[in-house]
Amino acid sequence: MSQQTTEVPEELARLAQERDFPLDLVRRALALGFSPGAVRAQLLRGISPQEAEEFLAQQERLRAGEEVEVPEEITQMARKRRWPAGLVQRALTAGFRLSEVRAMLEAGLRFDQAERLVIIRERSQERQREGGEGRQRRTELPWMNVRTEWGVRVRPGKKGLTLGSLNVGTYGDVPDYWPYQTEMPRGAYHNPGAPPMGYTIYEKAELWADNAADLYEEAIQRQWKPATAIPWDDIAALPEVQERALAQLCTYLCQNALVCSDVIGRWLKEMSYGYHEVKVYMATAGFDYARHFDVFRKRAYLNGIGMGRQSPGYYLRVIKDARRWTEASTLLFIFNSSYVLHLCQVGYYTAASEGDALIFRLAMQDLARQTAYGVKHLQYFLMRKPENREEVHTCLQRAESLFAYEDDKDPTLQEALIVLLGGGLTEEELKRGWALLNYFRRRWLRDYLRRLEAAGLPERRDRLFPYLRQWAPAPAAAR
Amino acid sequence: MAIDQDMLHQLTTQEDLPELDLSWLRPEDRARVEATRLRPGRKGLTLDTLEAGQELPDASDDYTARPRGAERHPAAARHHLYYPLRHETWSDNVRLLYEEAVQRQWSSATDIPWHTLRPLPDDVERAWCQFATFLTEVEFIAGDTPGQWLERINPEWYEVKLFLLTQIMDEARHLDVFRKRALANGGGLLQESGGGGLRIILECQDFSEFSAIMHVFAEALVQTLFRSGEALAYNEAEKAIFRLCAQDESRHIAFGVMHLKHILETQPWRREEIHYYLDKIEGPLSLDMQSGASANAPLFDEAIMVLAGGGRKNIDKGFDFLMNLRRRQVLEYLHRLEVAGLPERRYRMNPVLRAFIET
Repeated sequence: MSQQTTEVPEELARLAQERDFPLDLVRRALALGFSPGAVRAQLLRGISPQEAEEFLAQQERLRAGEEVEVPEEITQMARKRRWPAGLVQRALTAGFRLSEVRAMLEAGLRFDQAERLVIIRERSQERQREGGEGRQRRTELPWMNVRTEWGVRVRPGKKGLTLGSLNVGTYGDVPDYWPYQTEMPRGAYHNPGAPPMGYTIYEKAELWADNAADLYEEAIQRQWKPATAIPWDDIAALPEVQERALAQLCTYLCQNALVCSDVIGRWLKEMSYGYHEVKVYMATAGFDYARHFDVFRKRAYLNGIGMGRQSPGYYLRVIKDARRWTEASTLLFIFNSSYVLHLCQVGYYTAASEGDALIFRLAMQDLARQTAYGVKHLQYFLMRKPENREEVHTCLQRAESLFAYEDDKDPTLQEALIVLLGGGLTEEELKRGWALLNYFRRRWLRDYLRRLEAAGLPERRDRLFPYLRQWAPAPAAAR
Repeated sequence: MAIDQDMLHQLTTQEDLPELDLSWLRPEDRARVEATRLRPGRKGLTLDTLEAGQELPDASDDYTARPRGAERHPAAARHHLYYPLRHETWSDNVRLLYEEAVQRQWSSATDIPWHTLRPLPDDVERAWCQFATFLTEVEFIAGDTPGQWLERINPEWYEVKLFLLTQIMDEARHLDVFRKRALANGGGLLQESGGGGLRIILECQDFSEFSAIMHVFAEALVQTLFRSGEALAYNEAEKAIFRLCAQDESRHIAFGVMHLKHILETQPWRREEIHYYLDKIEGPLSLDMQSGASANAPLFDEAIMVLAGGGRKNIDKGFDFLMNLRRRQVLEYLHRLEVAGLPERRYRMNPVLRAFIET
């Protein structure tokens, strides 16, 4: 096709005019078979008329069967970089300008790297020259033909498009054993060349909870913002002793949250991708802990007190030291969350302002989700692996005994709670605080045992570590 | 929460008060805190307000779980061998980024106008599904990786831990939103990618290595892609996905750039080491970027070409988009390295990447 007869699409002509780019060069490019889209892209990229002229002249010579003369300097550079003879000429034929080839050589491209670029350009040129049929053949795109649940649409419901609602058709089949060690999402088509990613949990029973997807969505809907959700200005300072006691409680809660978030971080990478519902829920649990640390630290410092004394951290180490996710989950989300919930109940009960009450209420709301996962997972685990029942008891025994050890050895938190609950340091106030602490600890033990019962471990009540039995409910009250 | 008064009376009379120590109440045992009340500012009570004027140590020999500012317990158990120096993990913008992350959380269930999805031509829908499948994989890795650093970061510099937890949350939402997109319009998940490049992120042995590779390189490429999403989006739902994800990625990159800057300023001898990490990641990922000639994973590039071209028939137009995208990705990556204080990377980067901006 002669360039004189080549028609320039109106939009392209307008663009060339806007860029002060000679229309003649556009015509020559189209006559050489370059698509209007390719020419447009060059114009948008800001190609100069000189560069275009150099390139088009080179292409016209090549199409006429001539070779482009390669300067000796470039030939030498190519030899030095061990490019095979002919690669420079091939690059030019593929549409690279001499200046581009020089840049590739100066950049230090090895021959294989340069060749890949040349192949890409050759394919692009082929596509541009081919008619519709040929182009179709070239772009076979095998991934387009893999098996999928084609035609199954998930519609948003009352709560929007939720994670759980995606589990339709084969996507709803959550296998008992996930056979892939790669990063493949559940429901995708496996690539046999993908490398293993090093996960260790491939069995559904080891991490699954039927409520994980719902808890994930709920966690997202209920996320709150410590900086702005709490009416900080309205939280008046408590009498100094109580303010210090509250700061001590907040210090403990900060430390607890940080350790728990470490535990989540450690286990996330162990969970294989077949069970993404659990992984994403864990992300929200980690984020909950971040906000808890944040809000309790802010509360401790709000009225000029700051952090109190750290806890020795013996019992938290047991959670960190877990060697199986079910162990970590049970200690984290049933034992520890139950314990932290009771601390928040104390905080809520003693709150002297709306702001303080809100802090503890929001934290409890998050912790309730965590216990919900913990209970459902343990339930699932025990149903599938009844032979591991005793193992769960052993893990709980370890946590309970270490808790007793710490509670006995370090009275700091206990005393802070007594002061907080009693409202001061007089004997009467301390006595009242001690009585109330026992009341709240009884509630804690009652709730803890109820959760274990719901998970399918009712006998824990009879096997509770002796130190904790002082707060355990009488058999009738426990039901 | 009300307590029955009779029960309280009964408890008060029954329980013997144990001997109390109360040493935690003695002010002389406590770290001195400026007794001033914190006042929330325009953005509420932020970490910056909280920590203003507080000491920020550069080093710590404390391997317990003690939060910064808390009184040491002499018998506290060690929890992990944390990084002992602040420089190893710190970024000067970390508090700001954490607060911003908390404020800007969004929901893939309700913040995306899913109702704007309309049936697309089969090839375009399949391309979207392939695109979303790959990004789901990417986000899996992006969520797992920060988690493995949490327990190595000293609670003394808790801000970094909090920020990483927001990143894990962000990545969970990203994988979730791309999975939802794949399944919401009648397509589904398609082919798993090769994934070799992504594993390098999991394999990092040092926090700065992780941050340079993940925040500065990988997330920067992804963010440029998201910011170019107009060309790939066919409806408001897809535009919203790109916009919201790009917003999150910006924070991760900002952390990485400022951390790298901090490292280069405080530990200048690590410059060559950082180049090694970048050499490592630029190599494998640049293979993926090669598209058609790469034996590794052309599918993501091909999906982009189909989407940008408006169908497989216009894949050449999509190819031009892809090449422009690659050029922008490399330029933006280089710009960030310049900001971080590594301008010489322009001349030292993998030649394959360099070719995108010089040819």
